[in-house]
Amino acid sequence: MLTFLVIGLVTGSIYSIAALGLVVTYRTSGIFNFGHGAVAAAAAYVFYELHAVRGVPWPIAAALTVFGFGVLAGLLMERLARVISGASTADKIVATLGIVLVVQGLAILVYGPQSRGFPQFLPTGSFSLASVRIGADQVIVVLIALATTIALFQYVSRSTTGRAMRAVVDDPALLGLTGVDPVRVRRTAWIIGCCFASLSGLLIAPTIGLEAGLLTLLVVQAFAAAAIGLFRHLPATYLGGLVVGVAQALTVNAVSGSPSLSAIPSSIPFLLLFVLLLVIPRGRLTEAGRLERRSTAQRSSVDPRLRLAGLAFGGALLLAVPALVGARLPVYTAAMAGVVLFLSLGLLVRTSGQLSLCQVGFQAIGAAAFAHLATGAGLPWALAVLLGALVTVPVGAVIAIPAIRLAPLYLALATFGFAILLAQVVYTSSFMFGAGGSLEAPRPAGFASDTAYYYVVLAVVFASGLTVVAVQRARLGRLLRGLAESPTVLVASGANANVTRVLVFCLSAFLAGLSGALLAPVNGFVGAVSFPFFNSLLVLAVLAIAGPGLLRSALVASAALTVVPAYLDNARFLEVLPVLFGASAIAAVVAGRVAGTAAAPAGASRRRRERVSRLAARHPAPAAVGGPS
Amino acid sequence: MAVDGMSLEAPTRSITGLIGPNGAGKSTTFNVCSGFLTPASGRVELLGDEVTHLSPQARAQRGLGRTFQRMQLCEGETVRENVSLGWESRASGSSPLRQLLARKGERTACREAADRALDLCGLHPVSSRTVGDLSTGQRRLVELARAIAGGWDVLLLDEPSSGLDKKETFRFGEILRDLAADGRALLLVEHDMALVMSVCDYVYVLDFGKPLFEGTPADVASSDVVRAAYLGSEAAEVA
Amino acid sequence: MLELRGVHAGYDRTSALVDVTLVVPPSSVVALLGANGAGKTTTLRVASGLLQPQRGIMLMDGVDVTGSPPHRMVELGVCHVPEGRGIFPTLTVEDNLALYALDGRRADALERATAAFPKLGQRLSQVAGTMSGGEQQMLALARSYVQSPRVILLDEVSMGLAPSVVDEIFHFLDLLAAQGASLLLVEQYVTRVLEVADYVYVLNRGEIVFVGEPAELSSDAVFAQYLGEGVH
Repeated sequence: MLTFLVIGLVTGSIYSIAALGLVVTYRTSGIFNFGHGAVAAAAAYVFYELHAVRGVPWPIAAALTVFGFGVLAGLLMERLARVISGASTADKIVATLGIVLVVQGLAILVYGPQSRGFPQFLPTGSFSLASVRIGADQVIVVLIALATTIALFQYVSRSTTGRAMRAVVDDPALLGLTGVDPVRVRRTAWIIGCCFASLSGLLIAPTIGLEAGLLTLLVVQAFAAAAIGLFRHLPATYLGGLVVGVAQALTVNAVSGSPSLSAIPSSIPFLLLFVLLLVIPRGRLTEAGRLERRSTAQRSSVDPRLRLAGLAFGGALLLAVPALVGARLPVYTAAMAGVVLFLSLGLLVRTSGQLSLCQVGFQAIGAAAFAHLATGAGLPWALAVLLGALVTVPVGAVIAIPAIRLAPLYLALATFGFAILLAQVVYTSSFMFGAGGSLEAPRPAGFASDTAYYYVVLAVVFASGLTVVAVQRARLGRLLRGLAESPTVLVASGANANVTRVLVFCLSAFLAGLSGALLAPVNGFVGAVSFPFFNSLLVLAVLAIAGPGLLRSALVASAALTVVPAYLDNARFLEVLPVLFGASAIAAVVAGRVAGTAAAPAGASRRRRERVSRLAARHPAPAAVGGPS
Repeated sequence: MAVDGMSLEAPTRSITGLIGPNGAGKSTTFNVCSGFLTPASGRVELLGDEVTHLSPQARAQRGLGRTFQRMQLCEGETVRENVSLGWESRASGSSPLRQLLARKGERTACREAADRALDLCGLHPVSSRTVGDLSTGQRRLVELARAIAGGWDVLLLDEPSSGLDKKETFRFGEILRDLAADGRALLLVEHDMALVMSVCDYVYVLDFGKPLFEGTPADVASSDVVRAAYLGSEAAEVA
Repeated sequence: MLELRGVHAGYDRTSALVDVTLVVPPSSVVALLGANGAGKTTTLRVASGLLQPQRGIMLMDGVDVTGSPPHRMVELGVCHVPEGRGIFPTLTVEDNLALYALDGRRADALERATAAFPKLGQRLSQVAGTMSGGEQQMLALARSYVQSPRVILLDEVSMGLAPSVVDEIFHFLDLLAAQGASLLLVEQYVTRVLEVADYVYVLNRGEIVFVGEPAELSSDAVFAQYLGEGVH
């Protein structure tokens, strides 16, 4: 018991460090950095490279990592944050998720996908206290966390820059009027935040090894700690980290007897995050730095006849796929199923302006439900697909609750917590993918061949595409576009916007579930491995770079995600792909911002200004005082 | 800003104005009318029914429409699409089924309502343009047309002339007169006194959250109290 | 000293200011009048660097300073007390005042501020946002004294305050003027402003429609302007 308490305090201390860095940057810049964990992971790799590979003594390597890499990352983050600061919440999330993809991809590219051992660099001696063995490294970690927390708190409450950091949260424009450059203040905050992230990555790595995914995820647990501090209060955030760590360790102790519950402890932070976001009074959770953003979505102004021709050509091409692609057909079938997933996400994110980081979770539920109904209950195939997809609808309705209560950022966090929760607790339970972790997923009778099944899926994709287009054109489509732009208008015009939100989440969940049910029979079986929660982030980033049009972007996105890798025989290139996706997502958001601000001449162009100035010199302004002008 | 002891009535077939210096409590009064604020005491009636504790959505269902000072428009959509949203939202209410699909004949009814509203506001020539490409003056008219298309009997207009030039404001005033003549009740909260003076039938003046004066535009223009409130001379501080 | 020449400015597509030319001479009080929405606040935002003009230039002591960010304008001696309460509400009074000390001399800042507004001295550890409206405004105004600027832009600093507080604020403005600072005043209390101003500008829908001395402008004419009847 006490041993677990000690372990909990140690991991909790590391969560605290990560969470503090996150809160400092979020509050001062208004950008919630989903890539905070990626910074931590990158720092762990830097230390590994310096210390384990190149033999730099650990104190020097640690200092270089925290103060060298941390500062560098902070400077880069400040640049990025400044450019995207006027973007919508969804775009900000996509851009910072891009960082995760880039860092993870690069790590795999350089160090390979296997986890590597991470040197335990801190002193390893131990002593006993009240019959509990305590390691020197444990004491050091707890003390470092305590010391950095106190130092940060003192800095923010007493130093000049710290005071300005609190002021910039209140009113950045007023801070400028007071004579302090808000950019400089935010840069300091980003440097502090990234140094804290680096420190946490360095400290957590020895216990879990060097693996980009795990490292990123472990720092994500800091989200829960930040939620306990209401994404605002520093001391509460520190305590929040300890609470998360201790709760986790004590659950490990509590469930140690029953292997079926072994997934619970690691999901505690995400459970906490999700529940906290459901119960914290909404007034306590205002989104920092959120602007009323006008969507820049333009209707495609393509000639209808050209559009029809494009549709006909695309349709014919899709029909001809089996004759063209040979043995790679199942890849195309999977991509077709993926199109439905992207349609569901597009309807939610693009049309109605909502956010979901758990779309692949819906897909998994649909797939598992279908497999149970088709194989277990022996229902006819089509009925099993339909009911399987319907099972996800109530789940979608539950996710609509945070959508109703919360600002977009917190909705994203809640769905993210939910996605991880699903993956860690539900995927692993026997009622999801069976005791063996895998269920049989049959194809419809008479359509068992790859070619026949491709056409079945294609037919469903057509039907889904038509449905989505019909919804867009029907009354609901109008309401959804209204919801994206201004829920207030819906309410003031007599429509219940909450009903609209529930509807779109249900519809979107249904389509995602349908996608899962179609995907499962491609391989003939279905298991957790097909639906990693991380893919929910990936699909959002890929959709962001898939161009305009709901149908077209779904096709492009699914092709990019599924078909392109099948043609990359070079394993190396395959590994580059996520890096490309991530970098493109960041670039897309940045380009959108640059294009958006280019119209407004920031301080007028230098040359024009000089011209005006010369003119003014030649023709002095009329005397300012005297007589009507 | 708190508002104390304010009574006002906006009868049908007329335009009622609500004015006052900055910070006088105009927005607070407006929000109490539209339902985004519940009054600590007093009541709000709409077409003879008490609606004091009804949500904005319920009030809209009962015939109260509005525009916004900070325009709320779907920038990427066409003018017609924006105008139709008023009708569609009101028709869909809280029922999931009604939100999902229109009933038979509703498509036509919506189109006709939108056509009438576009006509009244002179927006037909730009009906297929994207709202984001229009001038502020035209965008204000799109908001007004949306409120007309919804078929509301009582319209609350929140600072509708902000950002309009003189000509646009004049044109806007003419449309408001037409709307009132059609049998609607209009409540105009406005800082542009010129517009209020030229179109309103009756004007309420607020200052420091209290009713200061009410009467016809001519009464208001010649009132010493109002003049003092706007210019900040001693009389206002006593009143 | 501070001069706007042919400034056009606005937000998004709207143009809030059209060809505004305005001069604030040294040691003078300039009043900027006009109905709501006429562009008074926008003018001050341009003058302090919060909003960059779309066209036109801005001069300080004859030097082109167009495009300077707000903190740079502060260094040049411009102080803007914005509309509403220009304070950091979650910080204590002491922290607010400490932020005014650009040279880092917090003790000096505190001393000067409490000399101007003794009430603030009793509130140093209070969270600024919990003070009364008048006290908040005094805290905001204290900046224009502590930083010893040369041009002070004041946007409706008496709005919504009790008459006795308004008196106190006008006394303070006299003090600022007596120190040799120039004031650019946006005020709703037209009568009072006309008493203290050396020069008056009247804006209507973003354009300057009158420039002159207060004697040339009666408050009746200003009221007529509010009613949309124009100034003649």
